[in-house]
Amino acid sequence: MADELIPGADELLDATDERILTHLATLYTRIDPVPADLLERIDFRLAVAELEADIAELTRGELVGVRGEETDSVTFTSGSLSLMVTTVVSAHRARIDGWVTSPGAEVDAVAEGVTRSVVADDDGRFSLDDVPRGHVHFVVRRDGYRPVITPSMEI
Amino acid sequence: MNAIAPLGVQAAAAFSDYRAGDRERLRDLVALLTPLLWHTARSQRAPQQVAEDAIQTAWLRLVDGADTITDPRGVVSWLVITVKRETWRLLRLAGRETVPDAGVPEAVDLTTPEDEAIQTDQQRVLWRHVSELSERCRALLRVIAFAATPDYAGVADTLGMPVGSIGPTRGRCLAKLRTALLSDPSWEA
Repeated sequence: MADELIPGADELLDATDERILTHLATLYTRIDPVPADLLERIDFRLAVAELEADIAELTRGELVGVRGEETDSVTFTSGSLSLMVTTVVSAHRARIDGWVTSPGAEVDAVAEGVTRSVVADDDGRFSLDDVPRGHVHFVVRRDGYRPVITPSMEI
Repeated sequence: MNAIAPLGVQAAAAFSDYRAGDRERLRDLVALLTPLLWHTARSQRAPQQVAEDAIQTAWLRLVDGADTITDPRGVVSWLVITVKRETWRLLRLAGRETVPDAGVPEAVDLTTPEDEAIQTDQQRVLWRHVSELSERCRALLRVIAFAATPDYAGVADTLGMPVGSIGPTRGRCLAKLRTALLSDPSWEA
């Protein structure tokens, strides 16, 4: 690269430069936006890595586009563990009723910015109130097993 | 706008909190830096999937080796460098094995001003002048634009931006673009 002389190259950045760069960022955001669900996928991969968790598979129901008031139940399975959840939503919040095949297991609902935890009762039933709507995934912890993490679903 | 802390400072704060045990702050860090990392990978002509893989890998390595980064202020540089290297590695790999589309970068860089994504005249003018820069300059400015205001000092060097004795200078790429824009009557930013 030849060292061409460019006027102003050695000057400090000023407000005009800042404006140009801001416009440039806006332009590239339009031309080549970050894929909509990339953040979600990164968060999920990191959660799995951090927890050294097993990943449960969706075995029944839909993960996206659930916009009705009450969803059909969604079931996740990992090995011998199954987790079934049903959500009832209001404007911004949701209640999640669930059942897990391991009584006494701790169930976390991880939503954007908040985690709600509950311990399943002797029948494996649990209920979580006041979960913000949006993406949520679940983490189930049992003594003697690795945590199980579910893919995230939209509520 | 002065209320917004520089990216490097926000990132350092989130990373420190995360290392101190606040897991939620990792999500903040991901949200804060992923646009920068996306454009870092894409400026290296990475197809979408390669860019995603490189970014995922960088984050996983960060979580793995969070304790090896001695200065939290270095987290942005560390991620940018890791994404760049991983992008290059994946691109080399794709070039050797005959992965479909290998060597045919997606046409990010070839977007024409007529592209429907470009909406305003302002953007059209900007894009025209950006297109006349060298590829190296386009890649550099694209990443710097996402390192964002108000100061670049923390990442300037990593991004390939010259840093003078009292702070980052405009550098040849931005100086060229600025001169071209300011002498174009249709640019009125």
